[in-house]
Amino acid sequence: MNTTYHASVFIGKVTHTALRAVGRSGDSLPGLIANRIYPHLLRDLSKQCSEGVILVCGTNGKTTTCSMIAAILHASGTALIHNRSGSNMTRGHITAFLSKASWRGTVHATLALLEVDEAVLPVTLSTTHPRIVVLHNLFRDQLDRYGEINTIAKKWLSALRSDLPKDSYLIVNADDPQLAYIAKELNHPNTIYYGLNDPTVGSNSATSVVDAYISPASDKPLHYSTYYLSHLGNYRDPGSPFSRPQLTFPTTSVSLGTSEFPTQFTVGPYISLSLPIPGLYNVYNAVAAVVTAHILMVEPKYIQQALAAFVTVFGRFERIPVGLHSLYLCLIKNPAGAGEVIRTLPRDKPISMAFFANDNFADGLDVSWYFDTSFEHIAPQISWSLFSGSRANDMALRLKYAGNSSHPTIIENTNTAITNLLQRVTHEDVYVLSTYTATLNLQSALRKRRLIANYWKEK
Amino acid sequence: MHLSIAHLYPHTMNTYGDDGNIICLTRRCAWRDIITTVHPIDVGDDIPEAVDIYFFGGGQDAAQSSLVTDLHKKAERLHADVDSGTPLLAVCGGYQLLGNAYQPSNADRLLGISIFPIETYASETRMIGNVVITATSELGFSKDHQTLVGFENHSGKTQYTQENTSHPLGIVRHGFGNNGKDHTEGCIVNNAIGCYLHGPLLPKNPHLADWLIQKACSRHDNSYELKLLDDALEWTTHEAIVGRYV
Repeated sequence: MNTTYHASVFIGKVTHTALRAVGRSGDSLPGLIANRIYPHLLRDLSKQCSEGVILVCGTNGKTTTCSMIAAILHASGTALIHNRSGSNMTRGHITAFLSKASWRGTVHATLALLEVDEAVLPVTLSTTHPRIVVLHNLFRDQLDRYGEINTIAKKWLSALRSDLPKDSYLIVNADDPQLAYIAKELNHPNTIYYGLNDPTVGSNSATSVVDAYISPASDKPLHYSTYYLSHLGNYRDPGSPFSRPQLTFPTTSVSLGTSEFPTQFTVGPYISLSLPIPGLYNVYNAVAAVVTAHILMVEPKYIQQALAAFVTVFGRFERIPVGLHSLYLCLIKNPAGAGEVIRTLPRDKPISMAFFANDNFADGLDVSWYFDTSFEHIAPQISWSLFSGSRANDMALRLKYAGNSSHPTIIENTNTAITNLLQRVTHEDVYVLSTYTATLNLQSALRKRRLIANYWKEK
Repeated sequence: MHLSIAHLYPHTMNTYGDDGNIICLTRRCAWRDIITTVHPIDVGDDIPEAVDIYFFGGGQDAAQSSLVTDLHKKAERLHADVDSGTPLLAVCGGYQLLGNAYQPSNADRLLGISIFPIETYASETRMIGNVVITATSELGFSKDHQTLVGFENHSGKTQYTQENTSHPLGIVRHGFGNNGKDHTEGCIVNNAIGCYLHGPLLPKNPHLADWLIQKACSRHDNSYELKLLDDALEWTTHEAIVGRYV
């Protein structure tokens, strides 16, 4: 370690402490500044973890999957570095290390768990020499920022080819044809495939926007025997021998839960699990976490305990009690994720909903995905609707065309809208769907009103 | 009134909220008691006998090359319908394939079916962002609603192949348009419109949606007039984008 290393750690930690002192989370800026001073900082910090680095990458479910892995490791007593706030670019990774490093730059944890942005994966791979890489899924998301899905898949393949250490584990969602194809091309010796083997929770026709309709192997449309979630399913290519790989850990006996009953499923012959949060997408998240924990040799009882007690991360169907009723906060980022959120909303009764829609860079500048999202499944039930954010009008228009018959209240200013929203919650539950930066704004507004605690002050 | 809408290659060409244009057309018809039938037409499917409106969305490069052979089998029919005045809307990839040719960056040149006198070349830069254009007077829009708004995301640069007889859909006031240079956006031939505007295009541009529906209805009944709808929310959304950039 050299002087520049120590200087960058020191300044990063000063920035972090200062931001926390003024009540900000400071999840990115310290890492950004420190990395400017010493560009090899992430490499030098991560190599201190004797048990290695785990990378989790994909479009949807990264934050939830990582927080499940962290909960399992916490239950088994492992000290962990984890970018838990979802700040998932290099600056966020460095900040996570800095918060567990001494002022002299010594890292006090043996294992690091990093959620990684899709576009950043090549950089993270080449700097951290991971022990485990989890490729979770690849959905259409922010085409204006990431480009086409095929382009990302190509970048991942070439980055994994050059930088995936020979002895590391590659854990792949086999139900995603793009990812299975990457793994097939890579032919890495330690490849683990997870996926679903339970047609009772699937469908034999595509239910929503399908992103990987064309086979990456032959350019022919894929044939699916079961669709589970968007393009995730059991598929084969009519134009080549490519098909869903043999599952190392098939998931069976899935029973989808509700807000009252837990979701249950079995992973491999290995372990039966109960999860207190709804949604097939959360089954995928949990399976990825279980397989990762299994590779890390965590005892099954800790995995079962941690998942049975799992509490959602911020904005992922999080319930915030306000008097006698509740706000439910759901982050929506892209059609597949938003579609799954909509599937978990209460059915067959009138529902009050609020939408916070921004088009800042992190939300995606292009809002056309509102129309790729199946709001038709919920719109006719809406009895009260509020729209806020810089794209409040676009979202209100989308819901109009989806069949929202309630009169939309449109309030662009977030704070005014929240006051209006909280008034509504005094009468009944409200389900809030918000884009990424709008979720951050909501979080900070609710914190100021003391309805939620600062997450960095939780255990 | 009953309209038949042909949605070309809906599974492979649906990248940017393209289904939103179909949702918009069918909803605006339903609100006027016009019955619609949407025919999804994929590779190998026949075009139904009577089509009143065509829609063709955008797709990734791989998707485009997978259907170009099939598109040529449908070319004669599409030409005949466009020549006789059937309204058509093609966005992004669909627009490019209905031109003379598309040259991708690392693959063979794709010959289009020459509905629009355009050629497109892939470039290094992606043209991404909100777009506002002033629509051509050929569309006959009212004085208050001359603009069209949308979002573009393309690396292909499109040029007209017939300089003097090509008709742009409009003149760019904010954004890149066909090629980022000559301030043109899209192309119009008879009642066929090709353009780079998604977002999706029609919900935020109700005048254009109604132009397509009116053209389709007039072919059945010359005196058919569309019922007025309450488009306050549509225009607020439209004006918010115009106000932000122009």
